[in-house]
Amino acid sequence: MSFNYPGNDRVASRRSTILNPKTEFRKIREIPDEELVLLLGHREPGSGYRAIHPPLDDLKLQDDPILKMVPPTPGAQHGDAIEFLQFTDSVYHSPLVPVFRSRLYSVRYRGVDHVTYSGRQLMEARARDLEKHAKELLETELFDPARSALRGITVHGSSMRLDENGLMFDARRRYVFKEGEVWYVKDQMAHPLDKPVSLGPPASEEMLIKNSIVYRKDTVKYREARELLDHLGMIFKRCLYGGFNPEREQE
Amino acid sequence: MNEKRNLMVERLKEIFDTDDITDKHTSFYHFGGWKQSKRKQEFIKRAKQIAESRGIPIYLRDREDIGVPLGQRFYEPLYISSTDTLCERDDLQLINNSAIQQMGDDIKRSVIMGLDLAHRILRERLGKEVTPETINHYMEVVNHTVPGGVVAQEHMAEVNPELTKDSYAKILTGDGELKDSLDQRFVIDVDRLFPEESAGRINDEIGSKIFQVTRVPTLAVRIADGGIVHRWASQQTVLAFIAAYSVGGGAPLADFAFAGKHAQVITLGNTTWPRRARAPNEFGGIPYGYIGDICQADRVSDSLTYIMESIALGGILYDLIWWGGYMGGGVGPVNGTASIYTNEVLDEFCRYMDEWIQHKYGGYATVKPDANIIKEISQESVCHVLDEYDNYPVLLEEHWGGGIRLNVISTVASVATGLATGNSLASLLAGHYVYSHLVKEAMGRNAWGGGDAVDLVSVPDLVSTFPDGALVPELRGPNIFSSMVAHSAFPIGGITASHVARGHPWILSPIVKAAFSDPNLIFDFRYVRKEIAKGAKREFHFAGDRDILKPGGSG
Amino acid sequence: MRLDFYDENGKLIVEDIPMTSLDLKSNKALRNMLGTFRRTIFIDLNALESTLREGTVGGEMIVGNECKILGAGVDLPIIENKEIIVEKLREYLEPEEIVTIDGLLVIKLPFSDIEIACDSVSSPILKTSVALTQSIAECFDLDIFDGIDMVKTALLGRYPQSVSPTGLLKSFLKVPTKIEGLSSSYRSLSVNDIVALSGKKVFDSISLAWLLEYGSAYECGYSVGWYKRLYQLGFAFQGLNANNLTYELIRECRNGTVHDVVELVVQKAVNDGIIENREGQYRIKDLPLWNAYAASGQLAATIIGSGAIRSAQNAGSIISSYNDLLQIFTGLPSVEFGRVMGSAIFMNWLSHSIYGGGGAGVFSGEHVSVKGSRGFLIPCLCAAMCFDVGTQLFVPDTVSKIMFKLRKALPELSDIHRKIVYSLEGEKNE
Repeated sequence: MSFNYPGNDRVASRRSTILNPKTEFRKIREIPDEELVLLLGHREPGSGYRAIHPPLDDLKLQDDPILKMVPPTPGAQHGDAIEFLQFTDSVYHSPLVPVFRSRLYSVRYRGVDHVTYSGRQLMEARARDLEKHAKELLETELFDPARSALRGITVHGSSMRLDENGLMFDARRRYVFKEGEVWYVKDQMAHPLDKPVSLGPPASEEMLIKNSIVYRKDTVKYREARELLDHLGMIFKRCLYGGFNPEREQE
Repeated sequence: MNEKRNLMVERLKEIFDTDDITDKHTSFYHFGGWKQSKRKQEFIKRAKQIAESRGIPIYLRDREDIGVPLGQRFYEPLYISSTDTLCERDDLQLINNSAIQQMGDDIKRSVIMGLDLAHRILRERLGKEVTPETINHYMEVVNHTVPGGVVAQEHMAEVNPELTKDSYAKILTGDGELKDSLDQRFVIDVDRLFPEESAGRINDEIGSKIFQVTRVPTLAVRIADGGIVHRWASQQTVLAFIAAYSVGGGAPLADFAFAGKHAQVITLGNTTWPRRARAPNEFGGIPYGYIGDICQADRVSDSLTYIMESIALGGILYDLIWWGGYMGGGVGPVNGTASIYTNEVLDEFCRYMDEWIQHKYGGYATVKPDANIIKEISQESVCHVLDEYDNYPVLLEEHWGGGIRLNVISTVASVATGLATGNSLASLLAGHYVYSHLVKEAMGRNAWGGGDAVDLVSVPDLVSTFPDGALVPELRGPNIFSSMVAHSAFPIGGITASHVARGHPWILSPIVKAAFSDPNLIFDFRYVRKEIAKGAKREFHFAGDRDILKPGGSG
Repeated sequence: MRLDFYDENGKLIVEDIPMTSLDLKSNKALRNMLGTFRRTIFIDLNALESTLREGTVGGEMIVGNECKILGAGVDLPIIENKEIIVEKLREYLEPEEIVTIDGLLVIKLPFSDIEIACDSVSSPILKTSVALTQSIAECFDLDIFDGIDMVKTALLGRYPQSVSPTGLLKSFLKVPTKIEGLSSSYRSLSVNDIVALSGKKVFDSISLAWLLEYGSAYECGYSVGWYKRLYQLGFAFQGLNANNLTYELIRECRNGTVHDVVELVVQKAVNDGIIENREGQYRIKDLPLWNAYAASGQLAATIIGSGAIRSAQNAGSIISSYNDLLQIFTGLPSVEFGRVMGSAIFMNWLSHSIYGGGGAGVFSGEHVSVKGSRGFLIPCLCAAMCFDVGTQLFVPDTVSKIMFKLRKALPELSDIHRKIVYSLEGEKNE
């Protein structure tokens, strides 16, 4: 069995693709491990992962078959600290947006924690797991350096107009546009980097709109997404009727 | 509809200082940071003086090593809707705006007591006569005691009237003959204050009952909380009865006290649950239905304006003061609340939906509520507002957070559903539907982190017969766990609209409605937004100051 | 409808159980278990002795103590004389049982006490405080000015200056003046307490959490009419692994994600005829039963997700995401018609922000943020907490230590999943 997002328009189709666990996202940039570590700012490149408890094998845990049945992630197995990764996504067609980040994380990743806000999406996971997920989220078509951004603090910008180069506003100015590329000069917590890290050129407006997962006047107007709107209406009605009398014939 | 004057568009052009508000590009980082704000410049100047005089630093906005560098983008001012007042965001912060504070104080310090029981005690237990003349005399006495004058006990300390000059008591009755024979200084005259039809219905409902509307001093609710109000009023009222009717003995006095303090007293707010416990008459305990009653804009404005004024009143009261206070401690949610009463945005959107309803259903309260109607109206509300966000990137920039947007959109849907159906339950469900599903799937983003929590819980709870479900919307309020979090604009809007749609002259209580028509209140509840604008401009004359107690003060 | 119940190894325990066995009115064993929570009072005598000696009564902090009344300390060898005190308590309280374990005194009052009491949550602690104060007074011959007020204050804290007892004498449940909503005291145990009482066993924690939620649901009227089967089936499937559904979901998706559980639970519901897929649209044939299936899936997703990270901090996000995916992919109502999703979102936000939250372990069912879900959320948080290997500060091993000791004193609470399930069989046979 596989699920599709409700509707057949191009936004719905792209949403289905995003939420399909089998989708292999196109890799469009290479971020060396060292630079990824610098961007996240949780450890020095080359240093080990900070641990918050001994490896699971060294812990004496309760004897419980359910506990034994569920395998830990590699990070949990090693006792890694739980670190964070936060993205701000512009309303102007960031390839991934907060609600769909949380859905995508729930479809693809094991053992992650996340909170969805309107402009930003926070992920917390064991350090080495987090870096693995960060790699996919930053290196593939899921990230556009102009419309998506790494921000651990001062996250606003998602709904701002764009700057002259089409970049999303950042009060902490973590990145600059230089020679056609977006360079991070600060890490996600806005600590200055010794050496800027390039995340490459922004995608063209046409490409962003083509791959957009947002209903908008320049993609598909929301009022035209009839199937989705009826689907939502059905959920609403079922929750309403269930709240009133779950035993009543629902359909 | 597009050819009409769109005040929102005009305001947006002006506050963002651009003719093209459809461009999604701009420039940043060159506005001089916080220095573009006059208010912040003023704050910094003052902070330096304070720090020097007290020896402890305060407000370090000009320090680059402390927190966010403000002002990296254009720091747009705000228009208060329905006014020509332009202000900064800081002017709408609760602590910075005396009108907002007084709005809360005037509600909190009000208590209404029935006098009929007291008059029965006088007549039946004490054999006293109660006539218009005795009532007039009593009202003089009570206007001596309530602000802090002594009548019975010798050698008591009294209150300086300059400090309690906002404190008084008035009479409210639906009995025209009695009203006309009373000293008009003490009468809340419904016939004079309300349009004729409304006045007639309010008078009919109140009938021959007599109520005393008491305002304890603003300072009282500043030194204590809403719990002091009915106690203060009751104590001073009993003393006034003693003096005015020359009552002696003990046990009858206890009857007076019980009547005034318990048996026939209307406090506006219930006490709140233990974790956020507050006394009676605090805002978390006020049911939504009273907001449209406290708001008096219906006496002087059209229906939509009345709804907008009620929303501003309720939104500020519940979200800015109450929720902001108990959840965040007070330095919180200015922006989300401001979005409902600034730049004509909500007004413009509701006007659109008003016309849509007229066109679609032929008028107010013409369509029977059901899940499909709620879906239909909510969808149109969301689609229209989202279109406007698409059309005007500056509007999206102005409403930069999901909580801000959802506050507006859910309110539009709730008001529209209330107007179309005349049903308050349907109006609430529309707001919750918008908040929990509709915007989220359009934008792929929703409200703040916990924004849709109460909406998801509320949809089944509003109709469930659980003990804590299915409470009529007019009696619900932010003390209910499933409707408590920064969600007040749309319930107020929807409930008020649903009664407006049916031409009702009050929402929950004709007595409360009439009590707040009193022209002697410090805050003018006919013009909520104009009053807030005065506060923003520092032109509002508030009560409860203590200047005469300062060294060198006089009075 | 008849159900089979399975253990944490997926093995059948009892079978062919009618739904009526889940009725608290008829199931005496379940009532007894619930009764234990109302009539058990406990106190750490070591702490009592040192508190009295130091004069450190009346503190309000959860961790630490801010009060010390100079000149008020009373040096009483309570531990040394505990047998005498216990004997006196037997005389005054006529308890069903008194035990002491490592200085922890546990008193189980007779059932009749809570039958008589109108407020049967507050009464046991008040009554015991009187008896214990007098026992100590008599044991040490304390007169008016010998510190008798200190003894009573040490037991009940600032009460009645505070609205609830805040001293060393403890009950499982919070008194009504302390919590949100009427008849919610069974929901006042924290997740950490429930997990500690269950020895951090996953299925036991879930079952115990559900029993308490179910008790409150009964008390609040949710076992009446329209809602009765919704909560019965929730208890059976999510709380007690009915038909081995939860276990199978965990087993089959143990290496997977939240999405995998959603897929599987929908598939199973279709296969079992609870929902059907008609031209791409899911239709519901039995809504309370669908809800129970969805709730089992929610639990399985939590176990797999929190299990993978070996931390409870992601429980809120898993629960909200599970329900979110479920409804957007299928159009079916999420668990409890949105209530769990809403509560989980709120809980998740509170446990990741500046507004006073803490981790999953400190939440309790009646807390304002989560009480919108009646039954279906707290058991999942408990399961998540069982997997936490020390990633949070407020965990059972630190904040609910005393519950581990109580486990030893109250054997009826151990292995509780099995005990509850066996009680259903007993009912069937009766």
